[in-house]
Amino acid sequence: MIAGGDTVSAIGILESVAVGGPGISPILLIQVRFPVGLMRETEPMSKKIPSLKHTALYTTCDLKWLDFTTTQETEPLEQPLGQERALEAIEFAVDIEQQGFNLFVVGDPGLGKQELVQQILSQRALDTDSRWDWCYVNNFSNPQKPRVLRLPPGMGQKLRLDMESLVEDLLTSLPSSFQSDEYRNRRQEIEQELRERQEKAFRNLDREAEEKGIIVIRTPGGYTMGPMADGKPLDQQQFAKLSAEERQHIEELIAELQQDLQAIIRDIPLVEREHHQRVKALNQEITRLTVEQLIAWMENSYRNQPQIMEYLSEVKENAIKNVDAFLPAEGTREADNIASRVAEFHAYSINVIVDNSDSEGPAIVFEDNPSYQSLIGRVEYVSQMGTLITDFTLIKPGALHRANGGFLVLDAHKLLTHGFAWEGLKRALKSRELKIQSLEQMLSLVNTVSLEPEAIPIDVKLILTGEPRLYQLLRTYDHEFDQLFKVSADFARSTRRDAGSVQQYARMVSALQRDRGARPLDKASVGRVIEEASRTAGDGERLSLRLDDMRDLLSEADYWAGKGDREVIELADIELAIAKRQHRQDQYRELLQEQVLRGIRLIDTEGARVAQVNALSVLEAAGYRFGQASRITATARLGRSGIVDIEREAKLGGEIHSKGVMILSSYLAGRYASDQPLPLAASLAFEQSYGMVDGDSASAAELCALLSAIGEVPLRQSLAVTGSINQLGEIQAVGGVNEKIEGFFELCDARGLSGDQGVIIPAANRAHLMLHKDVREAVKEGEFDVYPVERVEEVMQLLSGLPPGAVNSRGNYPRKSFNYRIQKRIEKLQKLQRQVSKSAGNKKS
Amino acid sequence: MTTGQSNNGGKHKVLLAADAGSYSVTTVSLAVAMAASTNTLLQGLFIEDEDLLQVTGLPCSREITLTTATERPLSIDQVQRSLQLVARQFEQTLQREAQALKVAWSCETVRGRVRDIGSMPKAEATYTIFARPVSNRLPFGRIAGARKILVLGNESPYQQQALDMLLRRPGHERAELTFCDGNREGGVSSEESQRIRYRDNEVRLIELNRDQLFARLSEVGSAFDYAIISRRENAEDLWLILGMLRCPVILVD
Repeated sequence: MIAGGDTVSAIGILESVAVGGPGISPILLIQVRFPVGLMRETEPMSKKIPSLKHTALYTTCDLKWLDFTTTQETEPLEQPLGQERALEAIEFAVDIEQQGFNLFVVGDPGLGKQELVQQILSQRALDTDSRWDWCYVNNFSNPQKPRVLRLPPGMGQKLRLDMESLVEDLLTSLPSSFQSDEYRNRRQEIEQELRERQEKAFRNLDREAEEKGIIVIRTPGGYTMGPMADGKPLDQQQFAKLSAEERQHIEELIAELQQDLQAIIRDIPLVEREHHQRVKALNQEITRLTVEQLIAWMENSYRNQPQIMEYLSEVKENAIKNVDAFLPAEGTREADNIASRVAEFHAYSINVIVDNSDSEGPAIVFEDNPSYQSLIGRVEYVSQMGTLITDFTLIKPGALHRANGGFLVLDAHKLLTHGFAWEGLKRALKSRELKIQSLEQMLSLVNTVSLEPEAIPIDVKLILTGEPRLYQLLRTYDHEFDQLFKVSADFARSTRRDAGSVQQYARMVSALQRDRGARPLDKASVGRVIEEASRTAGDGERLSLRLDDMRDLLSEADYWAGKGDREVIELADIELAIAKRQHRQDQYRELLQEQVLRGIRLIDTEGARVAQVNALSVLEAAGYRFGQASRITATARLGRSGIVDIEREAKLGGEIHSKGVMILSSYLAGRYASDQPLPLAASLAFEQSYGMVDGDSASAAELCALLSAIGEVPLRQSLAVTGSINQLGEIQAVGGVNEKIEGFFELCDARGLSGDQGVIIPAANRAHLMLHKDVREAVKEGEFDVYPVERVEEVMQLLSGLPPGAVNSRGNYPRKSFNYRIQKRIEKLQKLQRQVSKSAGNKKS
Repeated sequence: MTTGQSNNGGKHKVLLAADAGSYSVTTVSLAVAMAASTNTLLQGLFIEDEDLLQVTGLPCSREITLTTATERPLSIDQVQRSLQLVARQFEQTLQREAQALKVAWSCETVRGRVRDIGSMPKAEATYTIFARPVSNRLPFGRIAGARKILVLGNESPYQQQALDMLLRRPGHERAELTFCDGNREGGVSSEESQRIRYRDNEVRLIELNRDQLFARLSEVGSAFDYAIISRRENAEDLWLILGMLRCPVILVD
C-alpha cells in the first residue's frame, strides 16, 4: 500500500522490450518495472475496507468539562476566545505612535472584529490631550478661504456662544451709541455746517442777483434767471422795450451769475462726499469705542489663545468698518427682533465642526457609511433666489475631523465600494492634513467659485476591518497600502477544541447570553452549542469563532424557550432553534431533492453502472450550505486526445477543477501507461450541471468514472464519493464533508435506506465529521456507511466490489482485480493504435 | 379739480400749497397726517409759478440743471409740460397718501405765486401747509437727531393741535421746540433752553426773540424740520420768514 506521499512511483527500472510481429518493425517500448518486493509492500492489497462506527461520526461535548448548572453561574469571558494573536496586534497598533502604523484587522465576517477593536479602544487610558475642538471662522480678508481655529476641548462652543452674545451686544449697544446726544450733536454739527455752506452760497447768489436786478427762480429741474423790476420779473413786453444795450447788459449779468450758479451746483457732489466721509469717520470713531469696549472682555477671556486673539482683532476691524449693518433700518425700532437679527450676522458665526465639550478619552469614531464626503467633509449650499450659495457656516465635518487625535474604524469593503473614498482617505493619511474639497473640484468637473477651507492637520489612527481576500488584494494591487498599514491583526476563524477551550467557550456563551439579555443556558444546551460550533467550523476538533452565528443561535433558542415558558434555555431549545433555522432555509435543497426523486435529475442510489459515479458537492443558497449528489460520467475510446474535461471545454469548469482533471490524467498515465503511449480519448462530465463547477473534491469520483469507463467495470450507485486525488493516487481531504454526507444520506433516506448505501470520504476528513443525528442513527443501525479511504484503489474496490490486485513479476494484475480489466483494455487500445499506425504507414508508402 | 371721497363739508380744512420747486412727498405726507389728525378735508393746491412762466418767455432765459449744472434752453411749452408732469405727480402722491389714511381730499392746479396764496379765495383753510424747497441735494443721515420745530406767533388751539400732530409722528420721539412769540416783550435776552417731558416726547425747549430767529434763519434756513406759524403774523415778516425757511411750514389760524 502506498501511503503518505511516498515517491515509489518515481522509482523504477527502465527496461526496453521489443514487441512486434512478422513484417512489423520492432517498436521500442519503455516500461517501468517496479521491484517486486517493494510493490508487494506498497500496492493496495485486497482487503475489506471498514466503515466508520457511528461514534466516529460526531465529536460529542464532554459535559464533565462544564462545571455549572446554568450559564448564570459562570463568569462571562471578557477577552475574546482564540484571538490572542489578533489581540496582541491590535494593542500594538493602538499604542505605537509612529506614522503609517495603521491597522488592518483581517478576518471573516461575524468574528467580532469591530467589537474587539471597540473593546480595546474603549479600555485605553483617558488621554484627552489629543483632543481639540475645531472651528471654521470667516476669513474677513478673503471669505472664499475660511480660516480654522484649533481650540481646547469645549472652547469652540464657548467661543460660539460668546460671539453670539457679542453680536447681540453690538446690535443693542451700537444703535444706543448712535442715539446718544453726543453723537447726534456731532452729526448735526457736520450736517448743519455743510448745509450752511451750501445755503450761504445760494443765498449770496440770490443777494448778488437781486442787487443786479436779476431774479433767480426754481424750475422743476433746476434754476433759471431773468431781469426784474419792483421785485417782479419783466414780461416779454417790458423786456422788449429795453434798449439793445440794456438787453446786452442783462445778458452779461445773467451769464456771470450763471457761472456762479454752475460752480455752486458743481460743488454739491464734493459737499456730499465730504459729508459722507466726515459722517463715516464719526461713525467709526463712535463704533470703535463701543466695539472695543465690548470685545475687551472677550480678549481678556481668550488672551491665552493667539488664534482667537487674532480673529477677534479682525472682528473688531470688520465691525467698525460695517457699522451700518448693526443699525436698525429706518422706521424700525432697534429693540425689535434682536435675537432674530443675530442670525443675519453669519460673518461673526463660529462653525464648530468638532465639539469635544463632553468627550472623554481619545476620539473613537465608527463610520458606517464611509463615503468620500462623510470621511473628508463637505461644503453644503443653500438655494437663494434660484442661486446656490455657500459660506463657511455650511462646512460640514467628516469622520476624519471627528476622529482627529483618536481612532477611525472603517469597514474596508464599504470603504472600497464608495467611489474615491479610499483615495481621499489615503491622501489625507499621507499628507497628514485634511482639506475639504468636493469631488467635483477634485476631478475638475466644475469651475464655479466655491470655498477653499483652510486645511486641518490630522493625527488619526485608522483601523480597517475586512476579509482576508480584500486584505490580500489591497496588498497586491495598491503600492501605498504597505506604507499606510504596517500592522495587520489576523482573526482566527476557529480554535482548537479541548477542555480548556470548551470551558472558555462556555464562558463566552455566558457573556453573549448576558449581552443579549437572553435566558441562561443549562449545561446540556451549552454542550450542544459547543458541538454546533464544531459543526460550523466543519471540524470536530475545532470550535468556530463566528460570534454572529452564536449570537443568532442564542437569540433563537431564547425565543423558543420563551415560547415554552422555560426560565432556562434547554437542550431541546437549541435543537429546535437549529432545526427551525434549517427548515426555514431548506426550501431550495428540498426542491433539488424532489427533482431527483421524481427522476428529473438522474441520480441512482442502487445498482451498478459502468463509467458512472455519484460525486458530492456543496451548494450555498442565501448563506445556507447543503450537499447534493451529482452524476459524473466518463467515456473512453481509442484516440490521442487524452482526457477531455467537458466542463472546462464548455467554460463551466473553474481553474481548480481543471487542475484536478489534469492531476487525474497524470495519475492515469503514470499508473497504467508508464511504458507505453496511452492511446486514449476520454471525456468527463458532470451530468445535468448548468452552472460553474469548481474545486477538486470530485477528482476522485472522476477518476473512478474514468477507470470504470476504461476497464468497463460496473460501479455501485449506492455509494457516493468525495475526495480529491494527487498524482500518486492518494485521496486528500475536502471541505464540506458533513454537508456532502448528509446530502446523499437524505436522498437515500427519502428513497428508503437499503443498508448498502454510504459515502466514501477521505480518511483525512474523519476528524471533521460532525454529522446529523439521523445519519448517526442510520449508521448505528447498519443502514448507512461512511468509508474513510486513503487511496483511489480503495475507492475503486468499494465501488466495483473488485480488489485492485497486486501486479506480479511480469507486470500483470490478477484476473479478478479491477486493475486487470483496466490493464487489458489499455493493452487492447495500444494494440489497436499500433494497427492503425501500421495501416496508415502502409498507405503512405 | 379732482376729489377723493366725500367732502365732509367741515369748516376746518387743511390746504397743501406746493409749486414745482417745493413739492416733496414728505410735505404731502405731513399734510395728510394733519388732515387725518384733525379729521378735516385736505385740499391740494398745485401752483404753476407765474414768475417762472414769465421769465421763460424772455429771450435770455435758459435753465441750469440741478443734477448736472449744465445749461439748456427753456421754452414755454417745455416748462408747461414739466409743470403739468409735476402737478400730476403731486396729485398722485396726494391721492395715495390720503387713501392710505382714509382722508377726504381734493386737488387743483392754479397759476400764481406762492407768496400770494394767502390772498387766494380758494386758499381759506385752518391749516395751510407750504411746501418749501429743501436744501437742494444734501443727504440726510440715516440717524436723525431730534426733530427741530419752530413755533412762531401766539399760541392758538390750532397751533397746539398742529404741534401735537407733529410730535405724534413716528420718529419724532425726541424734539427740539423753538418758540418765538411775537407778542412777548423783548423776547428773551439770550437763547435759553430746558428739557421737559411733553406728552410722551423728550423735548428740548428753546426760546428766541425775533432778532435771534432772523439771525439763525439767515445762517441756515434748514435749521428747522418744521415750522408752525400763526396766520396773524405780519404779512411782510411772514413772507420774509417763508423765504428763508427750507422746511414744510404749517400756517395756522
